[in-house]
Amino acid sequence: MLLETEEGFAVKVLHVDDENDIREIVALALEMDGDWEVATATSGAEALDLMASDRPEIILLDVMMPSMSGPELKKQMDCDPDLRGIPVIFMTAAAQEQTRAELLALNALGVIEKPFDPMALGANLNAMLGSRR
Amino acid sequence: MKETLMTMVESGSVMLLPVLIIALIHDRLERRPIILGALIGLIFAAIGAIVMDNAVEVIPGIRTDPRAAVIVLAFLTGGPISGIIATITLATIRYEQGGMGATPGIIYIVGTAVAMLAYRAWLDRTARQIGVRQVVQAAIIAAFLPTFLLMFVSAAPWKVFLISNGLAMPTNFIAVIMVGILLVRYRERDIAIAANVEKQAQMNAIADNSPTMIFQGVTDPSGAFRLTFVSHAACRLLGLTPHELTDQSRTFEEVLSDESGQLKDAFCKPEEAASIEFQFEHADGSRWLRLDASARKDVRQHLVWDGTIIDISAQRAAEEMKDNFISVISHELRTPLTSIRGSLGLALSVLEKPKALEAKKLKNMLQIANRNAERLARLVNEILDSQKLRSGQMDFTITQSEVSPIVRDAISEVEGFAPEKGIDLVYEDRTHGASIMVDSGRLRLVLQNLLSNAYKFSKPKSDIRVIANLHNQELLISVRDKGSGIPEEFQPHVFERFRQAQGAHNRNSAGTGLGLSIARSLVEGMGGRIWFETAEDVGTTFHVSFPAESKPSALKKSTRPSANLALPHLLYVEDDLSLQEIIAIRVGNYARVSAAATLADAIEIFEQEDIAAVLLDLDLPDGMALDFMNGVPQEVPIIVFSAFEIDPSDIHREVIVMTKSRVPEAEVAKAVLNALNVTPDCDAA
Repeated sequence: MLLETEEGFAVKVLHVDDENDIREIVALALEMDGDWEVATATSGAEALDLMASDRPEIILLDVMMPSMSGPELKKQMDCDPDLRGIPVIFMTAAAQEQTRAELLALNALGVIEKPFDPMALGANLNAMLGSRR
Repeated sequence: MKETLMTMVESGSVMLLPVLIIALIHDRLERRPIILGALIGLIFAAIGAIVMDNAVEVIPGIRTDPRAAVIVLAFLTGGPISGIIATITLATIRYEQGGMGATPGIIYIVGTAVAMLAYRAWLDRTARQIGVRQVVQAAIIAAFLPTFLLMFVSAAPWKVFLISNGLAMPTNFIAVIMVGILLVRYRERDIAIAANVEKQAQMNAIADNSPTMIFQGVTDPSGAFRLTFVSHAACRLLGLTPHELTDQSRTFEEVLSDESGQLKDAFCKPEEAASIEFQFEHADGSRWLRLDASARKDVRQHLVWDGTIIDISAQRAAEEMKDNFISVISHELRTPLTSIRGSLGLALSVLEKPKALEAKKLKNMLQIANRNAERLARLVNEILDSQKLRSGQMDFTITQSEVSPIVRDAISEVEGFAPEKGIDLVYEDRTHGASIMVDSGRLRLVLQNLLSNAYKFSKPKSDIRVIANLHNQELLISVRDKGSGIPEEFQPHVFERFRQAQGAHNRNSAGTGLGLSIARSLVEGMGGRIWFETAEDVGTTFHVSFPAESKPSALKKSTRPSANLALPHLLYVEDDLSLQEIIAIRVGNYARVSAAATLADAIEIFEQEDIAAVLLDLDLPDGMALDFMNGVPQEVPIIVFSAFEIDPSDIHREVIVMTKSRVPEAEVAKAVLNALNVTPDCDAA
């Protein structure tokens, strides 16, 4: 699902979420923000397939998903030397403070809490990526 | 004189003998008061005999002794029986002794006895216990009453009288006081011991019957802790007997230890209270226990711990469920909120950057917001309903309701629920228009819950079958999915609140875990039953059943509101109620329609009513209507309207045959009116 490419500078994002509406919103929000090339996956298995064929530069990963949860996917990625290096940002609708800490402990780049501000999403991702560089 | 005094003292001392004997026999004979009384009486009789034998001859021929004290004590300590025995014995002895003082002597004895009988009766009537005060009163009786009596009956000269009584009075008084108080003290001590024993038994009963385990233990100067007392609840809570737990030859750690090893350190801290929650591996499974204890120092400066252990497994489970609920609820509420906020945020940005979002996408965003707002509203209602059901505030509006339309409504609500799954929803209506007493709105909600549940767990491209069936006065609605089935360990929890088969992160689809709990409360609230059958990887069927009102059809013998008895009477035999409705509306203005959904009803109506024409479906739930058709008299026209391909050889009379789905309903209605010989004002269609 290619939405925007800008002279090769666009950052490749893979968004994994089982909610159709949220996938659509994230894709559109990043499209409006600019420099993002968004691919989406509806499940962990689909995400693994996509990662293998077209390596994303960053992954936006929903936590609570059927069959394979976000943290499970992340753990699986960490076992694969090819995928280990891809930064993961979790998106979670969980309320507990402790969840955030648990997610960060999985060596995630960051956690975005749902509901999020769609207009600030791009800037947020940039900040998290920037802090890494 | 000195000798006289010594003799009196000896006589008084002899009376201490019964105190010893009574102390010995009292406990054994306590429950047999008559025998005890008789024995005490005999003892005092014997003492009396000794005392009288030892009488002091004050003046030659005048003897005195403390016999009054013997009688008074016999009454006081042994009751009336003992007193009377002693009195008779003493009076007899005195009589045997004879002499000039015999008559006054006997009067002296009997008079004392009568006074004591009266005194005891008064004590009993006023429910007074014998204490020191009573002993003093009895001593006064013993000292003064006999002397007072003698004043009237004694023939002795006043000097002799004074000397003998001057000696007898204090002797009697002191003897009663001495012996009486000794006995009272003995009795009091006895009562105190009994009370103590009872109190101990009471404390043991409290400790042993308490569901809380009560314990006491001591930490010795070396720091080793040992239990010294453990109540019976230990058997239930720990699966260990108090005897095993207080085994002093083993250390506490050997006797009792928990999963995480918190227990062994609990009693090490000097002079502190201990309070720990620990998991304990009991023979019938792991459980959570809570120990509370406080320490004090005993005389040897050892730390003594008094404490309790209670089972908190239930609270733990409730807390866990609450945590799970909060995490599920927050996810379920925030997910649609995320979509609403996201889509509205994007739509709003159009106002700032008009070109940023094209119209089609703007509409799409608003649709997302709308859809998710609805989802959120549904969810909030679900939570509120569940709360209402739990607190019993849910009202039902129970009416006679036809089942099939409710099922269809519920189906149409959830259809298109998850289009990407490609699930086929099939409804088999075998209710024959049956009605049940329910709140139709709530039943629809139940079915919606069951259906959305079936959607959630269905495999893609599978089908969900809804079957409504009337059987033995019972209406059964079944929702069958071809999903993964319910795991065995989860089956007992299916209808519990906040329970979902998946773990916290692995939910299988939207859901609060409230739907089925709500469904059960609603069904049971309306007098129905709900249950399920499931097989792993085959699927799950949820059944809801209600007692059905008089079997088929609310329409059975109904005549339409517009029915006019002057109109020709049409018998319409059809088990598809929606079709029945359609045709009935078309001909309703020109004919009185009696509808039957079964063959039996059709025959009954035909026999009872004056039927002008029959519109007949052949394939009925209780059999083929061929015989019925052939039995209808020739003058009553029959129109067969059936999906069933009829074999001409089965027809033994004139009928008009119209095949379902080939002939439009308007044509059928026209044929019916034709058969009834009515001409519509305009086209009946």
